[in-house]
Order: sequence, then structure tokens, then C-alpha cells
Amino acid sequence: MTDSDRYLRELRSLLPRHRRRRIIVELRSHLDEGVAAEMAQGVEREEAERRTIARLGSPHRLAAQFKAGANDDATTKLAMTPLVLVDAQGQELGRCSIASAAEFLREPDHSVDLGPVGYFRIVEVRNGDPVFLVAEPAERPEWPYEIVIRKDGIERRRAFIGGECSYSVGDRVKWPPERGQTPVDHEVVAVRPAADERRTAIVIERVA
Amino acid sequence: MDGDALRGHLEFLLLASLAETEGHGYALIERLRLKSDGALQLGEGSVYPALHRLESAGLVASRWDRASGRRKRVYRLTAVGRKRLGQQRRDWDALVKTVGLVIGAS
Repeated sequence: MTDSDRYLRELRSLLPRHRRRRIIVELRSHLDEGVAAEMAQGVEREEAERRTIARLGSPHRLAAQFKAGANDDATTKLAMTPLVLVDAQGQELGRCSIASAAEFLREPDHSVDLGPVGYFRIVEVRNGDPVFLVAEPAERPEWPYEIVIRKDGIERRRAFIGGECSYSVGDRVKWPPERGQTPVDHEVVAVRPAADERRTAIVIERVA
Repeated sequence: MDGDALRGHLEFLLLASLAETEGHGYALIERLRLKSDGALQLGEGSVYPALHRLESAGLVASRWDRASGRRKRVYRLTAVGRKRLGQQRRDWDALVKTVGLVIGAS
């Protein structure tokens, strides 16, 4: 067992279980590169390991820094947990990127850009696993279409969308179209003026 | 310049470094050292927790890279991170200017 092995073994024992694997693999790579760089300068392996480990600092201090970062705020939990957007009834609207998660807590009214799906406003964050973000479609006056899903005879508006749509009744569409989800075949069952009479509603229904 | 002098600025430096191109932890440490002509002697152990904090905050994103035969966690700046970096640069410029006025720097 090398000094690097011993260092990583001790560090591993000090880290939260769910974060160990990634951190250890990442630091193993760091140690390997550091040792290789030192040896390329003519340093003996044992000394190269000692220097590289010394630059990383003690396992206790390093583990403490990782833990401190994890406890910074609740955004860390969001960053590690799938985020599911749901409406007030708990119906899934979509999933949002991990990268933008931190913004949600800081700005409860932040609009979530679900790309081609449209914009949503977060009205509540329900911590859990997964974290649920209760959202409602955000007003986008300049966007001319809205997607309405019909299920069991009940229609729910799902998104406003921009650009040009040329859907006709009978067309097949994938929904949700957002990344990170499994799209399901839907059929356009109606194209009609929206309730606000400014937009066009594209009503879709899941294909059995 | 030791780690204590950089306290509070490490995340800023990492974001700035990632603005150039993506990179893994060791490469970022080397990049900062070379760009500062060796003046920046980072506490290397503090870089990884900082990168994890930045990722948690949505300012960077990461992926595993196996191209070199060794698994490396490669980081890149997100759009949110780029925006934050721009703000931090403006804050930094303002700070330098203000301090310069006070201490009489030319």
C-alpha cells in the first residue's frame, strides 16, 4: 500500500458516505498526476508522493472543507437531487437542470426555462427526494401558443411556447419534449383559440 | 502569495480560469500557477471543495472524462457561472479602483 492509498483510505473514512466515491476518484487522479509531475522532475517516487500529499493537506482538514461546503445551504441538496416540476395538483410538468437549481431557492419567483416547453414560475419548494418544485406556467405575452394536455376529459395548460407551430389535429407530438425525461407519444386533438383569446391552444392527449 | 491571501477569492479565480476552457482540478491548479508566474501557491486541498461548492451553486458543471485512461472530473462554466463571473469582475475592478484611490496608487 502506497502513501497515496493510505491517505485516500483515511480521507474516505472521514467523508459522508454518499460523497465518498466521487471525491476519492477525483483525488486519486490528482495524486497520480501530482506524483507523475514530480517524478518527471527527477524526484523519487516516495518523495514525490510525500510532496503531493503535503500540498493537499491533511485528510481531516480536507474532509472538513468538503463537509463545510455541503452544509453551506440547502442548495447543495438541490444540486444532488433530481428536481421535478409539478403543478399545484402534483402533476409533473417537467424536470429542470441541476445547474440552475440554486437560483430557485434564492429567487422563489424565478422563471424556470424549460427550453422548448416554456417558462414556469416556482411557487413552492418541497424538499425531499426527489425535490419537488411546485410551479405554474409563467406569463409570456409575446409567445403565441400554449400547450394544453387533455387527460380523462380534463384539460390543463402546460406551457407557453414561442416560435412557429404548424400542428394540426391528428399530428403526433412527443411530450414532454424537455431533456432528461422520457417523451411520451401524444396526439393533437384540437387547435383552437386559447382561453385568453390572444394565443392559439394546442390540445394534446396521450396516445394509449 | 499563499492561500490565506487568497481567502474569499478562490472561487473567483476558478471561475475566471474556467472561462478560458474547461478543465479538471489538477489542470486548473497548474493553469492558475502558470498564469500567475508561480505567484499563486494554492492550497491544493481547498480547490476541490471549492469546485464542489461552485457546482452546488450551479456556477460550474462537471462530467467524467476517461480520454487519458484515468478518470478525471472535468469542470466547465455554466451560463449562470459566466454571469456571476462578470459581476465579480466588475466588483473587483471597483474595489481595486477604490483602494487605489485611497492608498494613492498610480
